[in-house]
Amino acid sequence: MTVVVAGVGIHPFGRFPLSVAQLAQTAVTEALADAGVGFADVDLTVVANVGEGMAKAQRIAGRLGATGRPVISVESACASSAAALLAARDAVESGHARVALCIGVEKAPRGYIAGAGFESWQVESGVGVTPIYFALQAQELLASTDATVEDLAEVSVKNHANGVLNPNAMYRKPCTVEEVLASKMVCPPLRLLMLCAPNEGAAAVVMMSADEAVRRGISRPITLRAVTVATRRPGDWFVPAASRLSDIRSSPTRTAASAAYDEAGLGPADLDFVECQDTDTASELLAYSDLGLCAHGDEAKLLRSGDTQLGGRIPVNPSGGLLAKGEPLGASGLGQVHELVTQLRGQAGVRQVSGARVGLAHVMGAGHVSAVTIMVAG
Amino acid sequence: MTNVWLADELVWIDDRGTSAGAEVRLNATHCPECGRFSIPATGTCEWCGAAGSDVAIAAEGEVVASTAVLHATPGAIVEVPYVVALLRFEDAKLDLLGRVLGTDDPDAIPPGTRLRVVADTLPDGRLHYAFVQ
Repeated sequence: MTVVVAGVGIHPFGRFPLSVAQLAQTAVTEALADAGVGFADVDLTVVANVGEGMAKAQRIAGRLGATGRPVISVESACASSAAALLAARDAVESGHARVALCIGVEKAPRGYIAGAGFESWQVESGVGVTPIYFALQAQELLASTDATVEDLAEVSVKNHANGVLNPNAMYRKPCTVEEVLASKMVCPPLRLLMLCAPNEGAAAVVMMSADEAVRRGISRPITLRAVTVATRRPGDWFVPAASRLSDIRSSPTRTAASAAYDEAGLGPADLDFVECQDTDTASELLAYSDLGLCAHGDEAKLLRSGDTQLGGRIPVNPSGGLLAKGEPLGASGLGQVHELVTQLRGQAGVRQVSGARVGLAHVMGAGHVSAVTIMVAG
Repeated sequence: MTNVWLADELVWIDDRGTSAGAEVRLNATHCPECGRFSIPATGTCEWCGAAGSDVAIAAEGEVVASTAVLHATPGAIVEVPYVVALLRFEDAKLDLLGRVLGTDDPDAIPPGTRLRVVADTLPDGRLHYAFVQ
């Protein structure tokens, strides 16, 4: 059964004097109106969030109406949104839900993302620090390829330039390579402007079968062609593992991407644009090769070619990415889906990727979770 | 006298009575099925899931990559700045993350530098493994 996205909504990412439920309500109201359905039509609601406590999904959905229908909570760190997409897609595909709603929402504290699945000895002894993982990955990229710290800065410059064009982004100021390289060092070689900042925001997605969309007269549905979630295999190394194998190297993003291309019957050459997890600028470069946009070792070459800029052959993070939007953990992946749908409908205005027909979204979260979503116009 | 470790399962049982600064061997689970080692030692192979037994692995390795933590992290009891490295234990085919003593500069321990594993006293008096040149 073909599953489509019939509506999307967003609350801008930033800092707000609002509760998580208030943030979510804005995004959901917009998504339901966009799809032309009411909350009473929703058979299943899946809430993606990291930081809230017990019964959070029901608290958040409680503002929308007491329908008696299932409301469930999913959490997979920065990949929580993908877990929500997976659950909702499967519910629609199996016929258990005619209409499913995904809500991603977060109010993340400032600073390092703490408690990212670490054991207490890791945190206490000073190795349970998330940027260490990104910095070591960046050091290995710099040592094993021709990528330079200037390339790491250029990714930030590119994404911040795109963010200027996105009214939902938190940081809407351009920056220069010099500014990035002069920003505060966090964990060498990564500086403050090379890392995304946790923040607040919400996004919502309404899904239904293609038949249901036709029945409801929805004019421009976007087809969900693949949703895949991968976790650790031997050879992967990510937050919060204390150790890794030295003789084999693999990546959960490669696993998720390969499965997604199989599921969609498409390949990297079919993509018109990508939204990827730019937790830090080296992570974006590594995503280029892990998603198959280039061979490993050619990441900096692809960046320098201009192909991944807005207006290039395969724009990456036309929304500004997490570097410009900020990273509201549970909402960031659905924020990417909002961008995919906006682009695929041709409604992205000044940051529109011309002729966008196929888009890919990629998130990666603590616990070695990587997820890939592929969507197609029409 | 009993030495108190932050996480004593990380250090080989015969070395847990040692004092700060002395070399220690790490405690790993060795898998009889796939032959791999895993740290921390949990009794279960992290890679294939089979039941394994505790063994001591080398107290010396080679730096693969290093960085530094310059800003205090909530929950950490060590003082910033400090250097961390991924240390490679060639025979065990494992890379382990740890704090490096004696330098504030990750460039001082470039890839290939040999480091030893030692017992280090944390600010609260407990012992923990650390790497030193």
